[in-house]
Amino acid sequence: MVYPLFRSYYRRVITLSIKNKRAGNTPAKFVRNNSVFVFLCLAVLLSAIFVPNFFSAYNIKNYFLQASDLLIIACGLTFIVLNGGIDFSVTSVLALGSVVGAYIMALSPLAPYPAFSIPLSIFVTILIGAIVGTINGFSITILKMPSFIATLATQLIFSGIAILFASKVALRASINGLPEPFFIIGGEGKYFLVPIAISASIFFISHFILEYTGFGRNILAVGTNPKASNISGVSVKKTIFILCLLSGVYAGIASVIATSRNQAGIASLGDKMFISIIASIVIGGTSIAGGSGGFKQTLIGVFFITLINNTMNLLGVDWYITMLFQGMLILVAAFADYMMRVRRGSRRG
Amino acid sequence: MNTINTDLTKSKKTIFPGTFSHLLKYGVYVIFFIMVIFFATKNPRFFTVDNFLLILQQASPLGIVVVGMTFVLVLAGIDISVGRIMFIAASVIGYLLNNTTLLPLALFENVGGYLIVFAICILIGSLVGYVNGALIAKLRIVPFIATLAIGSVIRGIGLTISNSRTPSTTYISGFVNARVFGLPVTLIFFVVIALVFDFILRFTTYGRYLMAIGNSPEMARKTGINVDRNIIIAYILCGALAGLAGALLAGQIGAVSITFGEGNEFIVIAAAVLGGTSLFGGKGSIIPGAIIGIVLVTTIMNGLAMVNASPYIYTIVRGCIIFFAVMVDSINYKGDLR
Amino acid sequence: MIMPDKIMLKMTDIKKSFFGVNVLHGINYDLLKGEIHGLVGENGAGKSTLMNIIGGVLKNEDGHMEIDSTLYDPISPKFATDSGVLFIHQELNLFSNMTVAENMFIDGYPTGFAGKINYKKIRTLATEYIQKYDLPVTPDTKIGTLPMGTRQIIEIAKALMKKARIIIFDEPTTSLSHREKEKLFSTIRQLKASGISIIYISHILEDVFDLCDRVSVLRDGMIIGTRTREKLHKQEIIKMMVGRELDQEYVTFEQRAIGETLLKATGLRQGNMVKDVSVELRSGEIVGLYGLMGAGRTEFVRTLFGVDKKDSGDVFINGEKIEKLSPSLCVGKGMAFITEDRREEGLFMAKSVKDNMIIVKLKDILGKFGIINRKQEQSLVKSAIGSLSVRVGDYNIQPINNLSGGNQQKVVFGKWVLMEPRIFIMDEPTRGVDVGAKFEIYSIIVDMAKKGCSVLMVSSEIEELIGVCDRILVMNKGRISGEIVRPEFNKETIVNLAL
Repeated sequence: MVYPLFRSYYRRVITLSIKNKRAGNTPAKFVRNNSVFVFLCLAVLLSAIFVPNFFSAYNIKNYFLQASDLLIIACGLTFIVLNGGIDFSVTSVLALGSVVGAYIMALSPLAPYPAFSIPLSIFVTILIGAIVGTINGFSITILKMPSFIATLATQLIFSGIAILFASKVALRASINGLPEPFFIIGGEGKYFLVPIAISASIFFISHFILEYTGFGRNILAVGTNPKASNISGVSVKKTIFILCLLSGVYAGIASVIATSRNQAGIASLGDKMFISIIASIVIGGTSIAGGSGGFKQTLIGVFFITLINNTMNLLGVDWYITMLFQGMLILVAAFADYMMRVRRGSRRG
Repeated sequence: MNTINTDLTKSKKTIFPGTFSHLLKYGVYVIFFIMVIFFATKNPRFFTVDNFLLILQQASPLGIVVVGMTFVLVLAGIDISVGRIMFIAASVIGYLLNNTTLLPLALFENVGGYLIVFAICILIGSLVGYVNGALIAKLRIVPFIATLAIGSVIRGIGLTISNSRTPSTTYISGFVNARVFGLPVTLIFFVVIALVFDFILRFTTYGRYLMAIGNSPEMARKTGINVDRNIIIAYILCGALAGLAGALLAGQIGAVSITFGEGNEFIVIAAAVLGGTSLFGGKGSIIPGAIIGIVLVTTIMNGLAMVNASPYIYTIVRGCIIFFAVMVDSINYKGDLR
Repeated sequence: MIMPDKIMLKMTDIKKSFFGVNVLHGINYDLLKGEIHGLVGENGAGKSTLMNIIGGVLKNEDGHMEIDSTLYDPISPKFATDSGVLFIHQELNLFSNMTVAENMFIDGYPTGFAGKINYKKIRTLATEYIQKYDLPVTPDTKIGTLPMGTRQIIEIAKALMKKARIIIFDEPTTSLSHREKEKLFSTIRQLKASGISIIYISHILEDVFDLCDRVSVLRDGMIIGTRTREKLHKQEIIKMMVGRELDQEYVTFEQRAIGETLLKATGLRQGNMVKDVSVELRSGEIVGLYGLMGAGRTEFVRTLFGVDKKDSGDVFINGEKIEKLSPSLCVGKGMAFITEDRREEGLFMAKSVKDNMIIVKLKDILGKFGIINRKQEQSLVKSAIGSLSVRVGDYNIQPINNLSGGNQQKVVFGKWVLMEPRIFIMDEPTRGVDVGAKFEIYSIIVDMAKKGCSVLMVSSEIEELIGVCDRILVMNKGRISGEIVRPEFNKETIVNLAL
């Protein structure tokens, strides 16, 4: 599995190495300290046994492809959550980036020249993420709006623009006829490792930033106590602003991959996705209150949520049941977080 | 998220000087009047008594939810599951109305049947509100995450009940759309509820407790106020009103589509904040706040329909209203970033 | 009038533990009817825990309490209040969005039909109390518009409206002016005269000696001893508090070399608390800043460090005029700032000692791509813990909220000392720190000055300033009202300037 491969790497991460030290070698302790991971393994095992076609090569490939764009977008949001905020607008970046990018490749005057239109479309999609991120950052730091409501508003505005744009240029909610070479990014055929590699590198970069750099420490500091961070010389507003931008850019990258995988620009791309993203983050154990958690947790969460989406899909369960299930998982994770806080004796939140 | 004790926060200068933030505050109304004039010139029917009554009728179901939302916002909480509470309540009604064995239509020959329908909706709403409140007060889950998760759970349940179909609710339409002394029944509901809840917020101990908790939950706890219970009650009231509003809206529309109620939470929050209720807690009013807020928002929505705007514009306009309303609220707020 | 034969409150063998740590080891305590009983002890001695048990905030686990010879087992603060036990907390419990009258009646509004609050009644009653305590407010004034001192008196007035047999005052004078304090003391004496028993907790021993009939000393969760008024002796009480004789409260003063000007502020204004303040700090110098609560000291130093934006005035650091002051810029220029509110603004309470210590120095130990040099990080933290003698287990894991107040404050010092500041501003650096740790903190301050650092120290304790400073600035109503150099240090002069 993936975990042992990464394990020696994680050992060097201080927080985890403490857990390992405490865990010793007893299996019971290992289970307790890595409960989400153990659950994931169990769920994979159960799926393999009970869900038809789960263990087929096609589905496993599909599973990792599905996980790749979720991982990217969840990484961006993990930064924000660790910093004590939230970003609802990522799903609107997915949608707007998708339709605008697809428009450039399929309908714009540049469409006949894929050599130009593909890079331009990728650039513009990521740029859209950056613009939305900048607006969020501006609203939160300069206008001092609470992050959840500022990003809710931008989410509404930009997803509205996405569907309006699609309806104006293509007269419907999706844009087809994208150039073939673009599908490489989404993992078409033998190129399936491309999106996986992209999301893996983004994951490692994010993890690296958080655990090894001064900026990473500042993110956690601001997430724990913004006032104390400010007085300690950490630029709180700058940190928040950069993370908003980063989250938007990540969502832009995810939009490129998702558009390519779907082979169409879809205005409803992110519609039901937010609950999956937030579930991935909190299930891993990152606290929604900010300041504690990490990317390893998000990775496990993404695998978990993708597994649920994938198996539910294979079993032919309606999307709203999946959504219901994910809502419950968020509550379970929040409950676990509460229990942790009680045990630690602190009364945050 | 850290609770902010406004007593201890040093008086910080707002980023904009006072005059400018006042300008911003009234700017909202200026924009509103410009839009009204625009709608009126585009469509002469916009500026008529009939349309005004229609606006009030349209505003009423969501206005009822704004009343509940004001209670929650005063606590510095938020409930983004209200749209979905409306949906689940309406779905249950749709289900019952289409299963005559469960709810004999003979009941609707007098008011009793409607009372049962509304009671069921209020009950469902209260139940969801109780869960929301318990998650927030007892388990200390951040309100928007708790209500987001609950929202997706109950939407799933609602869709399971309606089986992704669109049940008809025309049985209650007659009653809901009826007029008494020329006033729509929903409007009467709204006015009565607004009066009652305004009284609760302004003149009762519970209302003062809500203000106190919104100002500082820690201090309220030390003062001996049962903070958890009061929070839970506020969410129950919000849920109950959303449930009732779900029934009224289902009656108004006559059917419960799968997108019924979706996005209503944004209209409700926008209306509450436009009416002067602060997202930061401890400040808010129903009369006139909640009423002004919902009438403003509904007028704009009504006007957009009058000028035949693209349906996709609605979402954008909603987003913009929330953005500007909260912007004004935030600029006037002297605490820290949240 | 004390009735020595009548015991009001009797506590027998009270024990309490948190997470397996014993905080109270069997307290036996008697409070007589009509006496003012002082309770003193270092931070962490268990005073708050004990009072919270009496006040019903914490559950009594073991032992039992009697009031007027009947069993008293409070299950909630409300129960305690109903039994006539009033607990006036150190911090204010007033809601800034509500009026004076609404606040005074917050825990029991008189109501009429349909639960409607009888506003007429609460206004009338509130007016009565406002007149009694001569407060400059009306019942409908919003608390948010009032100064801190007035709020404190309102808080006390609010508590005194209830029928009480026992009143607990927990550090009631922290934000009171001298005159307000005198008024409070006369109120307390009146209460005593009417037969109410009072427990008075304070760090300010002078106040305790002035006011109390008996004083008990609490140390390590036990009552070490009780002295009657006649037998009070300051040195003895301090000895009982710390468990050892402190032959010296302050570091011996040594003349240091005073060098060039490091920080200069001219005509600084901020809000309505700082009106035209100018200071000049030189290297190697410790400057004290004294003033009563509300004089604008805290606001001034916050403005100086860029936490609150200045309205006008100039700040020069190392002779360079700084246009846009901000904490991060000040830190970059070698300035350090210890805030008065350690829990909210000084520390990351849930984080480890290491994370707290390194936060400021962090930017200096980054390698390529902003990567933290972990080896250096460890050695820096270790050396700081050693040199400041912070008592901590594994500093990589132990969260800061497990440490005592004194050790927490040393960590706050540690995080700034690590960056080797040139200018060190501290706001109440010894607040909430016990006597033993105070001495260590003074040594750190003097050490910093010896190394050429320039120190600006805000404090409410005149003795402390006289003990360590080279000169003392006194602030009054937002302005510097005077400056006194070491040879002329005199407590009375300083207080006079502050009044």
